[in-house]
Amino acid sequence: MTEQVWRVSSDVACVHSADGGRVAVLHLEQHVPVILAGTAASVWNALDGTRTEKELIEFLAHEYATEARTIHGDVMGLIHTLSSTGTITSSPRDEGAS
Amino acid sequence: MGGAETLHQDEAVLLATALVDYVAASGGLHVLFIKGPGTTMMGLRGHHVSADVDVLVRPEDLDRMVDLLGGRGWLERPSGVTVVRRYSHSRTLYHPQWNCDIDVHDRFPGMEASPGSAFDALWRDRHYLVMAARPVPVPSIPAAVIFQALHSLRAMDDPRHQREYSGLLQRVDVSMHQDLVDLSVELQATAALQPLLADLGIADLPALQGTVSEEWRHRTSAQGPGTAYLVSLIESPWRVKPLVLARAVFPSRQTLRERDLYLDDSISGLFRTHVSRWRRGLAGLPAAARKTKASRRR
Repeated sequence: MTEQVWRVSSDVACVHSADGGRVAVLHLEQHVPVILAGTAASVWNALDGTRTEKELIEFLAHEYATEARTIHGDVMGLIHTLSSTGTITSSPRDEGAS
Repeated sequence: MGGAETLHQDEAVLLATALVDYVAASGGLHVLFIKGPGTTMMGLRGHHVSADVDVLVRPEDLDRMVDLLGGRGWLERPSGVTVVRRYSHSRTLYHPQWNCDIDVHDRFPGMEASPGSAFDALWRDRHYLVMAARPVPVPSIPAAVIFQALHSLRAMDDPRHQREYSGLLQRVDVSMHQDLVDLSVELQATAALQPLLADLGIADLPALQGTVSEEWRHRTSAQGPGTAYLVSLIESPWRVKPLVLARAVFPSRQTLRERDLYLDDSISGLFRTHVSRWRRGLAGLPAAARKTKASRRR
C-alpha cells in the first residue's frame, strides 16, 4: 500500500514570520486567514509533502524533545482541521514531489 | 495549538494581494499590483507597512473586479467629497474581518494616456514577484518608479512622501533613465513627472514637453477634505455655493460614516463629531487656502 503524505494545497497563500514561529495562512477559496503560532506553526512548517503522519509526529517530537505520543493528539487535531478546509491535502508520497 | 491570534497588517496586505490575484484570475481578469510591498521588494523604497492593496485593472474590468471581491465579502467604502469623487480613479473595499483595504484602480493620476492603453503598456512589461508564497504580476521597475514618483509628487507637503521621493531619486540608476523617459512618454506622464525628470537631469528632451492636466492640479492641491471643499466652493457657480458650504459645515450622516465606520449615531455623538470636524477644518483652513491659491497660479 502506498504511503500517504500531507502537503499544502496549491490554492493556499501564506506569510511566515522571520523566525518561523508564526504563519498567516489563507486558503484562497476561504474568506479569512487563520494564524498558526508556536507549535502550530512548527506543524505547518513540517508539512513539506515528504513526511507521513507518523514521520511528521516523530520529527516534531524530536524538535520539541518530547515523546511522539505526547503530541500525537494535538498534531492530528490540527491536521484534521487544516484538511477539512482543503488547506492541506494527502497524496501518495511519490506524487507531486517537486 | 493555534489560538485567537490577530492578523498583522503586513500579513493582511500580502495575503489580500494573493487573494485579489486569485479572484481576478478566476474571473479571467488581468491585474497589476502597484505601489505597496512590490515597490519595497524592487528596492525602490525602504520598508514600510502598507495599509492597503493597490491593484490596477483595465477600466472595463473595474465593476467586475469589485463585484468578484464583493462575492468574497469585501464591501465598498463610498468616496467622500464631491470634487474628489469627480476625479475618482479607484474604488476602495474593506472587509470587516481584515485589517487592510483594497484599492481597485482603473487608472492612475498623472498618466494622461487613455487608461486602457496605459494598462496595456504596463501589462506588456509586467513581471512577477512572490508575495504570500504566490507569484503576482507587478509593473516593470521603470513603471514602478513612475508610480512611486507620481504617488509622492501628489502630496509633497507630507514628510513621508518627501522622504520616499528623496529615497527614490537615490535608487534610480542612470541605466534606467532611457526606459523611464520612453515609458513616461508612452503613458503621457511627462508633465506630471517633470520634477522627477528634472531631478534626474533628463528633463530637457523635446519629447518631454507638456502641461499638467486640470485633474493633476486638483490632485496636487486638494489633499484633504478641507482643500477639496475649498476648491469645490471656489469652482462652483454662485447659485450652488451655499449648498457646497452647507455640505462642508454639516455633511450628511453618510459622509461622516464614510470617514468613520464606527460613527456614534446618537445626537450627542454626531454633535461631538461635527465639533471635532469644525476644529480640524478651522485649523487647516489657512494651509488649505495657501495650497489652493498656489495651485491655481500654476
